[in-house]
Amino acid sequence: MTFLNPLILSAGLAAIAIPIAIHLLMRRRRKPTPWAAMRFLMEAMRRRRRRLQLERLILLAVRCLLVAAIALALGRPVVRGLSGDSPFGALPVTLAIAIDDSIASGAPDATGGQALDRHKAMALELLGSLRPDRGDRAVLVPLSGPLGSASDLAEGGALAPTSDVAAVGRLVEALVPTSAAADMGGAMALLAEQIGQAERAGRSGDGTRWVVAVLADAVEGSWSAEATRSMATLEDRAAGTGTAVRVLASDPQLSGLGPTTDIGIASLTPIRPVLVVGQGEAVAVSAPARVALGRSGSSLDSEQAVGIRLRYVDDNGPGPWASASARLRPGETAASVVLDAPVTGRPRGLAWLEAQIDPSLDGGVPGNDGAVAPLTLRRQLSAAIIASTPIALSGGLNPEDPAAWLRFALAPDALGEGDPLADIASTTLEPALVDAPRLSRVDVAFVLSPGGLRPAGWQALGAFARDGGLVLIFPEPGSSLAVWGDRATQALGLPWVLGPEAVEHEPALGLSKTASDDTLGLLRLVEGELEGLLRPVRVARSLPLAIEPGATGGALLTLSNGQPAALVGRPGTVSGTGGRGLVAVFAMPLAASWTDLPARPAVVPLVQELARAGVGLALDSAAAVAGDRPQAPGGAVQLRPGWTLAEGGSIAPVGVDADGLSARPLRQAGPWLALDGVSRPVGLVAVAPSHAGANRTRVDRTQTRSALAAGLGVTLASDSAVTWLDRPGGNLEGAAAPGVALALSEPSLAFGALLLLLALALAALEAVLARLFSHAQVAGDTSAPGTLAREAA
Amino acid sequence: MADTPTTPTIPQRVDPTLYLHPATLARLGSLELRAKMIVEGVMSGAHRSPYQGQSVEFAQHRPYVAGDDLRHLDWKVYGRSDKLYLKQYQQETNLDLVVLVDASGSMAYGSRPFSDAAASGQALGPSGQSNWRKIDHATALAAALSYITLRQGDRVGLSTFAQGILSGAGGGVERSSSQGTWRRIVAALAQAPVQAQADFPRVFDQALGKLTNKCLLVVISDFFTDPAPLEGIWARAKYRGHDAIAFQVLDRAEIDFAFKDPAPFEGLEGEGRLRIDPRALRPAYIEALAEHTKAVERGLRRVGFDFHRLSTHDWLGPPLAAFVARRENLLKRSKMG
Repeated sequence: MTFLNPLILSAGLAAIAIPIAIHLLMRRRRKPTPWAAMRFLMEAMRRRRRRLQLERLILLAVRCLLVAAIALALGRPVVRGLSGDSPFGALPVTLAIAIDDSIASGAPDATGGQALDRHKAMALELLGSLRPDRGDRAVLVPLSGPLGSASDLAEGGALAPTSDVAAVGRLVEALVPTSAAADMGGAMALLAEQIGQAERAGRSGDGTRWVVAVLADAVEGSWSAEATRSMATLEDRAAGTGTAVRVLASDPQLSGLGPTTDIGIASLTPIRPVLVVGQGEAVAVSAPARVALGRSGSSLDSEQAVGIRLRYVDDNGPGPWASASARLRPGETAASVVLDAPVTGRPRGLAWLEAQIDPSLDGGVPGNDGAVAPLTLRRQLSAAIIASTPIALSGGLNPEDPAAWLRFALAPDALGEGDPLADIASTTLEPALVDAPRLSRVDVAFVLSPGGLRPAGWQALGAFARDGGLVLIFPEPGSSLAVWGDRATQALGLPWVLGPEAVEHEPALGLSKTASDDTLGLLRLVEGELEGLLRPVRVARSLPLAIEPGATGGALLTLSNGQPAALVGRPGTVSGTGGRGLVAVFAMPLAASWTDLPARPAVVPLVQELARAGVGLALDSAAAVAGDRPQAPGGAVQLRPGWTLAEGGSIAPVGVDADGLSARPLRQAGPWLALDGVSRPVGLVAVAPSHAGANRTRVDRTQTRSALAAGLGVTLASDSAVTWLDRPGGNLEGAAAPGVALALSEPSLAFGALLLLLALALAALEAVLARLFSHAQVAGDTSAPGTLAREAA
Repeated sequence: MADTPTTPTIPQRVDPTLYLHPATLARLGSLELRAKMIVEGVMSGAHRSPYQGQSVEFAQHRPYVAGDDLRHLDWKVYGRSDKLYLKQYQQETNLDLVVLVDASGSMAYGSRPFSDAAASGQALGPSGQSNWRKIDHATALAAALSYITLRQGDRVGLSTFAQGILSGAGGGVERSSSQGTWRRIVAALAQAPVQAQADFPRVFDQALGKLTNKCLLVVISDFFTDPAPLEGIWARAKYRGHDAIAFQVLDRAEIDFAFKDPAPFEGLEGEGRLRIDPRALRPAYIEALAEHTKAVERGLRRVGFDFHRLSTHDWLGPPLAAFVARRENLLKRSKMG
């Protein structure tokens, strides 16, 4: 039995003291009445003592019962598991708890803990109210996204209904805030699927009822419109089954206990993801990175200065911090700052950048106050120049030989091809000889003779690109027809249109870097100087390049007539998702008959930067946002957190599937170590926190109700359809403690009215007994004073 | 009654008419108080006496013997027959009324306002009491009886008692036929200290020892005592030739016991306190009181004495008149018989 008004109940029960007090007060001394006929009083007392005592006790008991009955009635007792059909039968309930353990749940709570602690307490009380003995079962779905399928569910969840409520309770207790955004819609879809399955299995037909309890703060991070998009499926699926589904949800007023505004690191982008550290002695290197800040919440009209720091970490340990500060003006939600993390000592092992903001300036979600980004350390980059050997001309550089230009641009001060001390070592490959083993030894492949590549060569090149290689394709200077275009786009999975025939430009066109479309930021570091260097460059002939509408990729360089001079994009994979590598296709070769670019100073920074940044970007997929299933570095079979949780506990390692993706979404931000079969680190996956998920902008009760109503359909349109949950022991108006709310959701027998009737009956009984025991009725019968007196006379 | 002052002083503040209402006097005026039995007395009165003495009603002649008072010689018989005969008359004897008033602590109880009961509407009694106590009612009754008796020319005496016969102020009044005696009786009763418990056997031992002639004893009390010893007392009085009338004076609150609120009741004779719910105890109380009253009455009736119960809230006249009338009838019947 549960009481809906426990406060009134306790007050009422305390009121039982009133009749007792009256009873005792009646015994209190009063002014004595002088009396002569004491002998008759004593005689009467001797005769009546026992009966009077009994009468008094009976009267006191009835009065106490009366007060207790009123108190119980006002306490609105309900007995669970009772229904009209089976007044004393037990109807099992399946309780599905969707608990928000996303990044938003790490927000500090007014009581000193986290919002998740509050969710946990509510979940545990809900679980504690279940009765496994009558067949109650529980389902636990942590809301950290993504929850696209059952396999996405974290190990801390339990999608299949289980009667082991205690085990579910332990899972709840083990939850820690993740760094991922909540996926409310995905969770509801999973639950709807589960309810549908249960129905199909005939479990619901025997009277099982479902109660879905959503324990999440009403903030946008947890309740974004996108996250609730698929909640309708719950209603759709449940409606067909006839299964009764009752929805409980955290009262939106509870989120008022947490912060309203959050500042976090929206992104940490190394400007050069690959650090080429050289072969010789240690050289002073620094690792620049751009830190983007984001601010969200309901009070953005204040100016805020944020301290930011950045450091470089590798096997030698963390380097010194570089600090800067950014200022968010009133109304601004984003700011970014570029820091240069000093690298001391000789870089080695796995390296990453770590950024933090001063946590004292952010009272919001702590999960996004830090971020990591991976760095790739290379002593030397190796480039393969895939070109047909030209007929050697004596007397220096052949202006029509792109390979020669390229070799020069790659290593302007090198001793020659294969120089072990050069940053970028280049080798030349005959197009016909291109195969996977040869490509596996290089970081970047410059295809200068695409026409000479065989289909197997293209296939090998495609695999190379998808596996993280950088492929740069130039047309052949000797041919106006690019017959290889279809083969290239097919092998590399690029929805581009290349060629087929070169176009002459008279007068020659200028060349510039595309500012807006350079989404990958390949040339960001040399952006400033490249603009000036490219200005004198003229292009006399180019191959038409185009991107199919809606396809990925963008223009890297643009001709002065607006046509792209170079396209860049991620290669497609067999399964359709983006590969790890990078492909760029140029509209003109490095040949004097097409353009004067090779002879201009721009060629060296352009080629150097393309190679260095491109190799880094080609490996960029090793960086991910919490909740992603990132591509693991090659050779990795397992991903393991490279840090320990401050609050203790552990994060389980995640396997790598056949596609090289992590087997489960990585929901905790930080550097994940990629380990090979013998647990040797082979790479790093840096997982950044979800900045969107940390949005603490309030969603009020009305909005939440309408979001639930919109998501779940008409049956939630009425006020009574959602039961708002208060924290255990809370006193929010219109909300109920979890245990009480669960009781409310059940067919129950309210005893309030019955108890009121009982109280009425007791009141009547009390009145009769009080009159009877007070002997007041003797006034009207034969023993009236006059009569008695006459008799006595 | 040697120790009883013959002429007790009447305090000025005591107005005897407080206790004897003119209406009572008016009603009693036409009645005569007569003893059921013939008592001997020295003064002429309405009471038949077995003694021939100074009287107007001739009884018989007897021969003169030396020493007889020559005043009683029937000179007419001597003139006719030359023989000396004395005239003898049916003597009408005096009625000595001895009023015994209980002045024990229980008699101090009264729930009726004094002003309501007093003849003149005075708010406070002679001793400053605001209530019409049972002793006040007894005083009024004693005054009424004394007044009637004195009007018949009979003697009246008073004794107050508690644990014994009281003396001094508030004590007794010696028997007298003086018309002002009833005022002295009122004055004495007004001063009686109402306290202590009544010891009936001791009191009657003292009282009967002092009565040398046959008297009409009027005992006015609430009789809140053990009824068993009373039977012996009445038997002794009867044996010594006295007649007795017992008036039980009770307050209406004592008869009805109509209290409502639970409260402690404290005895006036040192019985201590008793915390009770009056309404719950009322039937048992009334039952116990009735049993007690019956026992007292039974003891009196057994020896032929009379018992009458009065309530302090009732006007004294009607029950007293009814009582006297009933005695009158009884006396007449016994005359005729």
